[in-house]
Amino acid sequence: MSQSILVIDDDPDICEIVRVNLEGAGYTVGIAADGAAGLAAAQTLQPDLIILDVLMPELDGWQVLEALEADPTMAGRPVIMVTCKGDDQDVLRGLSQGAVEYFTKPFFPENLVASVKILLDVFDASMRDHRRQQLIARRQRAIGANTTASTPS
Amino acid sequence: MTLSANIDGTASFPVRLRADESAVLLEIAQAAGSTLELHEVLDRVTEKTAMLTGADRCSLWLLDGTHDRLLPAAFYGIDPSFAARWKRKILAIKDERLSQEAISTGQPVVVQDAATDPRTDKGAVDFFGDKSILVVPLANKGRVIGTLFLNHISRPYWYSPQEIAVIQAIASQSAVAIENAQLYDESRRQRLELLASFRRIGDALAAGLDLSDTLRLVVELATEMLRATVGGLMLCREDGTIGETQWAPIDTAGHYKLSQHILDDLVSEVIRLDEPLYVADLYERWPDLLSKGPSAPLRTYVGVPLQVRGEVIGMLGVFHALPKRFSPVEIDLLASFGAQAAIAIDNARLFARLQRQVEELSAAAARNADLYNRLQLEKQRLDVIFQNSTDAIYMADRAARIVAFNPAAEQLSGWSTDEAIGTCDGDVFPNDLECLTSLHDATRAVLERSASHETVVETTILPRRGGRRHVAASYAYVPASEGEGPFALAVVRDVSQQKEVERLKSDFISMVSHELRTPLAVIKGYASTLLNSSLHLDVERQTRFIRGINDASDRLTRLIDNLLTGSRFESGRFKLSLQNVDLTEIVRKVVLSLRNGSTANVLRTSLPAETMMLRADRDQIEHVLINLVTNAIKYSADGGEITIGIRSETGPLAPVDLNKEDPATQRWAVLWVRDQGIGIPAHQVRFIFDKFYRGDSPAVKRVPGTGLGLYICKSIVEAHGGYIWVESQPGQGSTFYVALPQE
Repeated sequence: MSQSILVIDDDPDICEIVRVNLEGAGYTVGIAADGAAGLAAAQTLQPDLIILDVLMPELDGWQVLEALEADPTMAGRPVIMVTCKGDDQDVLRGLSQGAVEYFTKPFFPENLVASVKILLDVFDASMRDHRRQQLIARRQRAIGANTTASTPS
Repeated sequence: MTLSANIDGTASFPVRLRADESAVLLEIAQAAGSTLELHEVLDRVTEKTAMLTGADRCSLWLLDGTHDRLLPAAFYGIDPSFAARWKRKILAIKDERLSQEAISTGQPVVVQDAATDPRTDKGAVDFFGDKSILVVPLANKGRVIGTLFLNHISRPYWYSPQEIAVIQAIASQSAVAIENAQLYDESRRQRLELLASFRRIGDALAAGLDLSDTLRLVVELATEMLRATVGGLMLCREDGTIGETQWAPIDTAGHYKLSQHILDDLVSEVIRLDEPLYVADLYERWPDLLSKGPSAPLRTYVGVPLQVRGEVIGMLGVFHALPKRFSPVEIDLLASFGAQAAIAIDNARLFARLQRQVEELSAAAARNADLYNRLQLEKQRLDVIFQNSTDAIYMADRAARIVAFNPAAEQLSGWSTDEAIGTCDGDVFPNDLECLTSLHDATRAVLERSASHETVVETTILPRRGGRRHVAASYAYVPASEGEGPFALAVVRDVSQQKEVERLKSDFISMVSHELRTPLAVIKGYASTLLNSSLHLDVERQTRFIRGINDASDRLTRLIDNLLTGSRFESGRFKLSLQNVDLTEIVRKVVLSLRNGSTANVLRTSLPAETMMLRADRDQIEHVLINLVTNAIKYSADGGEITIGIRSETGPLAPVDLNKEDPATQRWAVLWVRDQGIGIPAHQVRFIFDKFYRGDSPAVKRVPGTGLGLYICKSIVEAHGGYIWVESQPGQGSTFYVALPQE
């Protein structure tokens, strides 16, 4: 049985691009066009990985991320942010809230597929968390911030 | 002498004479001694002499200074009215032979028969009816001063030798009395002159004469008083040398060529001796003066020191062209005049100094007044700044109580000046509790530091009327002065607007970044996917992906167009290229191209059959239309209907007063775009054409946009001389109108 991935993005073109590429790599792909639908689909589908946009109608990406981390059945499931919001502050926020990877649009679909593969097939949960902390530290150095990331439960 | 000629008829005389002789002499001596008034002495002498001799008339004549004229001095036995006239009669000695003889011989002259005697003035004899005349010289110690006349009219009179001797004694007694009286008179005249001079000096001082005028007056008076040829006054400098010098008459110094070393000697001697110096003849003292032979020589000199408060300040001296001219009395006179003059000079000096001080003081006062005026002016200027500043300015004392408050501060806080004065600044400018610093804290800090450190705080205050204002306040420390202060002076600028602009800009940048990234991500995503040969995409999919790239490119192009147009408006480089265009055709073309895009909305048109021509910039009008239609699409639900229409109008346009400046006959091409989208709340309608403005409802927020589209529409339309406006019902939809002028 192939691994399932949920894409939550309000831009149908982006959804189509991500879906075509992930399906090409052998994954099962579900699509949700806004935050609320995405959260509902995540709980129903229990995907192995979630690709999440930030600027969306209804719930935005941050709210979805928060809700996922708060849900014990979903917590710790890898989330990749794919968004236009590319500020260091935004990236740090995403990682701190539990995302393990952060793509800024425009992005290479092949890179996204590669990241999905590594996160699902190579890394276990602790390695993903280690990777996440590494990314946080790198961003913090970049912006000189001293805020510590909250560790997801 | 004919005294012995006739003894007859004189029998009774010796008796009378003997009886009265000594008494009359005594009486005359007493009369002369009883008074020093010259005219009284003369009157007594004539009267007593006449009484003693039984003469009908008696008169006294005095020689003048030249010794060749006789002046009438006293009469007895003449009608007083006549005597007054007679007294003005002056006799020349050469014409008066009786007196001439008496004076030249020093002996009495007896005229027995006036009518026949060749020496008498026949006119006078005839007039008075004189029978015999006795003329006695008035002499004292051999010096003749005049003559005494005794005239008998009723009968001839024979003087005995004794009588003549007695009359001679009377005459000499009288001469002494007269000389005494004359001397007294002279000294009195001098005294009066001195007094007059003093008075003139006093008057001069009272009149506020300056120093040089006073000096000139003193020299002139001294010269006049002593009847001197030249007078000079020299003041000492502090080092003892001769300073200011004044001559009288003014131009004499050069004329008399008195050599400087002699003058120096004379002056320094007087000053050194500190008492009057009299040189009876300068030639005796400096014989070489003679050899040098000055054209106008000066012979006698007297100089007196000028002394004030025990200090010699100079010398007053007079010269006479003749030697031995000044008497001890005159020297004393000059000395006492000098003492008075010194005081006058000192006073003039003091007065001059005082005047100088007064002038200096008034100059200083004027400078002060000037300074005061300038300060006043400065204060007025500062006050104008204070009153008219758009920044709120207030000053607070040690307890942070407000002591000064300007109109801008009233505006910002909502407190009137009267209310604010005396109130703590923390109450007048309450702080938004979310802010860490307050104006009140800053005031305290400034006053505690007691120094003008640069203190700038940014905070949010809560004005009385509600809302919140973001302010930046800069502080200055005003040190205590004249018992007031210290104070903290705060200049508070309302930066809410600035903050809002900053926020809009930052929103704009993140919006633009999003707007650029989204179509780029689509283009890149589709292109990469198409290039990925491992995916084995079918033709139908490939075509869809390519259309996606195309649409995203259009989106990107529109965005870039808006950004560039906006920037051209900003920099003033925006130019219309006007041509004749058909608005109907533009609408058809734009609608067609938008329909070709993958829109989920229905685009309808409501166009007239005929063309609608106007002068316009085709590209820019297309730009406006595209912006309006894409806006309608963005804010409409899928399937929502969008209608684009055109109509012609004349005169006033729909919103009241929108185009009241235009002629009533103006024809307009009105383009409208109606949607069934989210609509615009009434309070936002007036802002939607502002640059960067975006509605703040969540429905608007989640639709990406730069806040530039409508601003650009408005700018383009107005550049054409047209108008843009909107009618909207929230939840029902909006209609945007563009009116462009038709020729």
